[in-house]
Amino acid sequence: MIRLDKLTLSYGELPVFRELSLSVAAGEKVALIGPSGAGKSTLLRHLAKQFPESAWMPQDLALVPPLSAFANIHAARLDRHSLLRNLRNLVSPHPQDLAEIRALLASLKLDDKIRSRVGELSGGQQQRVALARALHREAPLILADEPVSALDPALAELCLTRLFAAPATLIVSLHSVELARRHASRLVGLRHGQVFFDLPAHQVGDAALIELYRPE
Amino acid sequence: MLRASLIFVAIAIAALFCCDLQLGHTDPWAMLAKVGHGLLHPEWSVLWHDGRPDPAILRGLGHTLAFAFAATALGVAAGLLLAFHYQRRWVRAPLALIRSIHELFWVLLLGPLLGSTSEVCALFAIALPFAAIFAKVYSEILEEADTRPLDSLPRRPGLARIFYVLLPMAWNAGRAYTAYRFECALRASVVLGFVGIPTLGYHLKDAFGDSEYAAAAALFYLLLALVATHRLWIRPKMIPLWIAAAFLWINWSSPLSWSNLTHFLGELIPLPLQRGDWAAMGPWLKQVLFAEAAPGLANALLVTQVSLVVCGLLVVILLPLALPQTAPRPLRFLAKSLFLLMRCIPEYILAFLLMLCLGPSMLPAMITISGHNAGLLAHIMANASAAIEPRVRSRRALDRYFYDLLPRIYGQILAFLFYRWETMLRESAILGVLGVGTIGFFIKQNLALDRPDRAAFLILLAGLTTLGIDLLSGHLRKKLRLSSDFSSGRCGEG
Repeated sequence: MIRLDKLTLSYGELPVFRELSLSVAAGEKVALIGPSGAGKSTLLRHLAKQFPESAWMPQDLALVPPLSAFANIHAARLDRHSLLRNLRNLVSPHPQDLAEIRALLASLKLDDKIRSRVGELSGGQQQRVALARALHREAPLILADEPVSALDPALAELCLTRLFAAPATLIVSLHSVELARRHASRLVGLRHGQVFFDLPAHQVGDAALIELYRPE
Repeated sequence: MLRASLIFVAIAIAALFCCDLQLGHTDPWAMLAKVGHGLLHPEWSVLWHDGRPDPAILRGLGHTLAFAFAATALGVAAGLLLAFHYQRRWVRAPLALIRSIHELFWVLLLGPLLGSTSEVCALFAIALPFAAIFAKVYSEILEEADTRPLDSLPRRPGLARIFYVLLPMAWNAGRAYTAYRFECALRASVVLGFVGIPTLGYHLKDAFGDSEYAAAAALFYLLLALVATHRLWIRPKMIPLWIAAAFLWINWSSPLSWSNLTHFLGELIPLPLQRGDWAAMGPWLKQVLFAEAAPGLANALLVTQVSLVVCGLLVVILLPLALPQTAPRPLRFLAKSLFLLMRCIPEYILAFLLMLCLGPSMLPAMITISGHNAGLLAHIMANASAAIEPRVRSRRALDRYFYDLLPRIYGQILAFLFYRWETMLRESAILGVLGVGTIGFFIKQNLALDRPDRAAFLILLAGLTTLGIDLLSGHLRKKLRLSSDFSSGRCGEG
């Protein structure tokens, strides 16, 4: 489904990837891990550009602060509704759309904020709105960059469970190795813009992880 | 920056030597005393009639508000649609010309077509240049809006993406600018009274014409209060109602018809060309270019250059009175009230008043333009620099101002002055209508003598000169690396 063959990307003069190769089959649940600056975000952004029909949740969330949580999430399905319905939803949401999004938000423990302006929500609440938007898209590929970084452990667990239950191919970057091992089926360790290891989750040993995060 | 400023000061000093600054009245003090006496003893009774508000004044108030609301609404709607196509040259160029022509000129120009004192004419005279200005500023705001959310949404449909991302993200900046523009529309609406549209300005001009200064003062204070307090009585939720009421209030009848339109457009073509007399075109051009356009534009530029520098000086001098770093609270309050007063008086009416006292020379025009703009800029700069952390710890306030604060905000002041440059030229051109020798004088004269072809040609030239200044100012701002992004400064546009 996704095949990157010897990808070379540079950021200005600085090369980020040197001949990075990666392929992901449909339905795989991949977690990207690795030290800061390894290129996780760059890789995800590159994929988001390559697959414009994917559901993309960037690290900075890219929400629309003046709109409600409902409108932000509904925006993921603008293409499935008529213009009239979309405009109506900005003013007074259609009951059916409202119910559907309320159920989705309930699974992320945020249904009480459905009509709140996103700009007035806390960082963790905003992150769950962005996650809900990515899920609501129902795309065959979900790309998420640090989707639970602002959540407490219990909420992070809950939200990742919901995310990894989505019937889609998943590529998710996580800074918590623990969460990555528990939720993903496959772990890709990135270091210096190259694939350091690429293994099924249960085969990743502590030695490999220590090497992956070893300081210079 | 300093060198550029000094060059402008030198130009202004040179311009002063070429200016006509003579006082028209032999005894301006007597006149000033009369007007001053009126201002101190306003005759409030003109606003009342048999114990009730005077119906004529009420109608004038209604018209003033109706034109301001309806014209702003039309301008916003058209400007927003055009803003999405503003990058296209064939949209941008005509809009630049439309916005370079002042509302008063639009009344004079559209008069023969829509009826010179008709309400439709007044409405479009404000709405047309406003639409063009909104298009420009909205397109800038949309360009600056954060569009990252678009990457997380479906590629299509474009229109829904605009409503779900672009418009909400641009909302705050757009709302602030639109509110400022409405204030301008109120002023413009009042001023149109001076050319016969029945707004408050009409009654004001009447009172002045009859030398009833105390009555004029009451009307003057009424319109000042109207402009100064509009943010208090316009509640955001009521705006649709105000607009609907405005459209219902306006009398839409006008002599506009197809034959009228073609006749009108035909009359704007130079007379020799209308008659097919190509040989007469030479003398026509010679007369219009050398006897009218050249002195008119030269005078307008003289007024502009002097006003620009005086405005800058005024701001530099007045600003420390309004900054928390340099002035105590009571002084700040006084200074800010002064700025509010300076920006609330419509330029045209201030110039009218001053000319009454000082006679029709360039002096009142310069005082008006530099004063109004200084009020506007000082107000914006005072708000923008209130939070600057002082780095110089001198006991004397002026040391802190000249060695620390001013050097840090000078670039912004300069950027704003360049922003206002074209507006000042527009204003000095229009003040010719009051009798100063700028191009507006010749335009009005040609219209009075029923020569719409010459007037149109002069309006076109004035517009092109404004455009030229706009381009030059953009070039200088870029060359001096003055930040183009200052959201509050946008309220100085137009």
